[in-house]
Amino acid sequence: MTSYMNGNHQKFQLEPPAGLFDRIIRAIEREQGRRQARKLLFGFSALLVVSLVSTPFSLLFLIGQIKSSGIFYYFSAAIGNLGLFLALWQDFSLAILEALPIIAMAVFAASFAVSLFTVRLFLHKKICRWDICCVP
Amino acid sequence: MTENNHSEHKKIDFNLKIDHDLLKKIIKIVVVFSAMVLVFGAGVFVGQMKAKFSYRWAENYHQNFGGPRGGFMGDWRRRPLPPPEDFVGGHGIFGPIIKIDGSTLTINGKNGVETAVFVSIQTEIRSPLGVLKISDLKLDDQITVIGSPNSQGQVEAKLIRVF
Repeated sequence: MTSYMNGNHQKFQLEPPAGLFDRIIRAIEREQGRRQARKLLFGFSALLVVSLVSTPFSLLFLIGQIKSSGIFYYFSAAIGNLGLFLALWQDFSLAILEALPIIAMAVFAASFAVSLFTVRLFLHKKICRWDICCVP
Repeated sequence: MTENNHSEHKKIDFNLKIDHDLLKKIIKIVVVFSAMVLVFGAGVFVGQMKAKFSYRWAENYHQNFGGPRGGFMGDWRRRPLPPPEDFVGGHGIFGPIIKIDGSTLTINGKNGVETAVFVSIQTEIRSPLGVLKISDLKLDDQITVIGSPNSQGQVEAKLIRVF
């Protein structure tokens, strides 16, 4: 309770309205939430752009690596000689496994997974509720 | 009394549900971990096979293809490890034939790496036209070889497919 004096030296006592403190705390929390959501939005937007750009390049790299690895030749030899493929399945399997372009597959899988993850986040609006972070 | 029995039933159902969910999670974790271990193990196995053949290929390079005893790169074992894609696979080769020496073919394989292929009596040589003999093979024929590595850094062919 705060006391004031007017020009006629009369004392007034002012009380803050009920619930003012709670409303102030809620407004502070809302603003903090908005700032946090904006930071997340910026971060995930950047991640989405980077992953969407890198995915097609990594796919082209993977296709090029698969073409030069010779896997198609091994599959063609297997399909053209099914009886021999069944008799030599261990050597065929090891030949295919040895020829797999592991690094290209890992890079493509990682960039594709990140782009799917960030697209899903935005589609389900998990990081940005319009009323929290985008409305001033 | 009836209300007590009902709440007891609810507690038992809740406990059973927790156990069931926990068990499902544990099973999922075990399955995923087992799959990861299997895949990792397969990778280690294939990597070891490639490294073993690459070592034998380098050790016997001068014998199979000519050149000085120590090779053109000197003592390659003192050099840093090459990147994984430089290792040579010993079970599958593809490329043109660049030399025919009796029962040994030299193939210009992936990344221009020459590989010696030993053709035995058991080797099946096939083309789209039918079964072939080693004398039917010519220089620059594009072939795919499936076989297994030997201790001389060669691939013992089990199937040669001519394209």
